[in-house]
Amino acid sequence: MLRLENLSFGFEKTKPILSDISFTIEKGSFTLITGPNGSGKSLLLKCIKGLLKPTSGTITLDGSDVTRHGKRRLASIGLVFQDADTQIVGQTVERDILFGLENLELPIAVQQGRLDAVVHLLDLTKQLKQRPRTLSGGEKRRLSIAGVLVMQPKLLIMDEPFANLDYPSVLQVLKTLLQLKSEGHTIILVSHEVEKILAYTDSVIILSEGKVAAQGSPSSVRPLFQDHGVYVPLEVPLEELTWLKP
Amino acid sequence: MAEALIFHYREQQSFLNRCNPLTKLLCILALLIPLAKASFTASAVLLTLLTLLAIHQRLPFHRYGRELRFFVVMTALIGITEYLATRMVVQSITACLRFLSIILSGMLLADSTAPDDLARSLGSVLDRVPFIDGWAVASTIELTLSMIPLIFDVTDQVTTARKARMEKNRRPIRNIKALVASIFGLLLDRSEELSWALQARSFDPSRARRTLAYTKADIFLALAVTLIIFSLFFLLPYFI
Repeated sequence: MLRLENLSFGFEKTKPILSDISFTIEKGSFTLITGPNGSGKSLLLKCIKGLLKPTSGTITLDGSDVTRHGKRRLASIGLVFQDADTQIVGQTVERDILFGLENLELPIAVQQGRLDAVVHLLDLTKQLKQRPRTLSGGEKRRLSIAGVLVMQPKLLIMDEPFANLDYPSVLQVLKTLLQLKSEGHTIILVSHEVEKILAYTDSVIILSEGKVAAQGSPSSVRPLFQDHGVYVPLEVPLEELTWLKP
Repeated sequence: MAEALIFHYREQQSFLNRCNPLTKLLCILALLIPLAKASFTASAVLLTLLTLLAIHQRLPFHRYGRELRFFVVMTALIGITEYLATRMVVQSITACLRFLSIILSGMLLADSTAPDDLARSLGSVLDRVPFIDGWAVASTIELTLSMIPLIFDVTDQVTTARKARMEKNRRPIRNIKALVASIFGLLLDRSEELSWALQARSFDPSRARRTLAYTKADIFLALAVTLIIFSLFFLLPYFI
């Protein structure tokens, strides 16, 4: 579905921050990208989304090369930013969710239908008329997911969705992610808190110093986490590496 | 519980919220332009009327906290400088009343008008002006208005952080320079993030948006403001 080949990026051409990144994301899969701070995870997401222009390499989406089509990537790929506060632009929850739909210039009936569906899916019905500033951390995160999901992207990318959240809010976000996964959404999640979600991922990519250090299934990559500055408890079985106990 | 931010929109079913943003903006301009030459009585009556409207709008003054203190200090400074310049108490009080009326009008407009609603109303009018991308101008105004609460928010964060680290006020100029640099730095970061967020959700400033309809509330507001202007700025000077 999404294929990156030898993707490189740098603010100066002579100093690449991301070098020769290659991987493939399958449709309907749940991929975790992890790595220590400063490994280039957030920059990689912005390159995939079309907010930053890669200096070299190709990005293929559903078989077509979209490397030079930043706008197409903007519409097809949804990115939930690390800081929910900066992503929320509407004055009420309802207006914020509708913001992207209005930009897509969809008919009002379609907008309303999508709004109802996403609000129901993410359990935001009661907060619809509330000001986003008054929401809790978990609610804000769900709102930022709703604002992106309502645009029906082919691929949903989430940057550190558990950052700054308390335990109940992490559980809320985890439940939302699993629900989206069960509905067949293709998800890329960036997090260094792998113990919260690893059990549910289909594949893992470890980034280190702007390069892909390892990639594969969670079980094959797991022994390599600590070599690349990512903490994961070694004694816990893989299926228990989640905060959402089955 | 989030602290209420001054100059921030609150969704509610009030009279002012039902009015079209363009009507509100024009009414405020119509009230404030003659205010520059208004007498003490006219300024006092106008401020009283605006205060009554603010009570009806349920402006949460008690929750605005330190932002409101800034305007109190500004009002005092205006009053003092006006007095020093003219040596007339009534003149300096009138200047304070005018300033407070301007601030209160801005607060009422911001409290009852979502920036995107203002952009919808302004854009539809400005777009008819030749050689102007009206929607882009309206979007610029919308984004500028959206930045105002962000400025207060960032200032609050920076000052709280400095206070928490027990900053001493021994070198005030150096402190102010450092404070302003921190505020600008954080503001630029936030602005960059906001711009990415807007881009990520396919925001196009030149896109024509759905315009807002005018209601009976607009007619009522326009009539009330016309009556106030006529009474305060044309009739009242004949009686005083």
